Amino acid sequence: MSLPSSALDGLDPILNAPKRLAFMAVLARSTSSDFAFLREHLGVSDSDLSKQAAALEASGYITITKSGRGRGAVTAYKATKAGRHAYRRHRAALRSLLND
Amino acid sequence: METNGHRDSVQDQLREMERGETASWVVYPATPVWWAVGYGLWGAAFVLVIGWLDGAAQALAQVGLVLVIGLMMAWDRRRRGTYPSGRPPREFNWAILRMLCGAAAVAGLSWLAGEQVGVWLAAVFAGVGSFAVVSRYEDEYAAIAARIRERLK
Repeated sequence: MSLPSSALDGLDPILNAPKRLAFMAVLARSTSSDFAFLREHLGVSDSDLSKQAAALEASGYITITKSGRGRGAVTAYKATKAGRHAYRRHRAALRSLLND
Repeated sequence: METNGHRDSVQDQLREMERGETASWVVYPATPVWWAVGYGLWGAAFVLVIGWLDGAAQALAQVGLVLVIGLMMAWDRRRRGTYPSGRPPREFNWAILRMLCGAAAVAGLSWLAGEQVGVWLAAVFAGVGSFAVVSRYEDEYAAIAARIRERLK
């Protein structure tokens, strides 16, 4: 099956991975989210979540901040402007694929 | 067949995106009872500060009340592990509108009581009214959030 090139252009290879897409979906509509919330939502292990986060950070789609120490330490994730833009573009591309 | 498979895959992705986008709005621990009580006390304190204090004392007390709200929001944010931004899911629209109308009615009644009777009655109206509006809103919000979670399960 051939897909329209204009729609495919909008698809982001980073966000084609389901876990990273779900990760960005949460951050797209939140000021920030912490490690525990995202792990619960995605249903993944600690190491898997860290791996997905590292990939998104390397792409410039999220920022990661760590605060506190020991048991009270919190790791928070926030979508960057580029990340939100890529996410919106990816969603629009998916919707246009559905409408074609 | 292949087209149907492709459409299903895209629909699944869009559904997962919607689930993620609504998560910060609908996934949260139960709101404690003191939350609405806190808003009631805050509303009453606000009226007493406006009615009783003047000048620098009033300004200082207002800053204190704003700080209290800030602390409550920070606590709520920390316990949720996330905080929503942007437009809420449209299912919440009516609940939010009713809450805003309720808050406006409480403010109006409280002002009227303050003008006609006295600050104490205005504070009682503000306190009880704020508690009632926030309690109702929290109940309504929780029911809508549960329906959305169920829909996107």
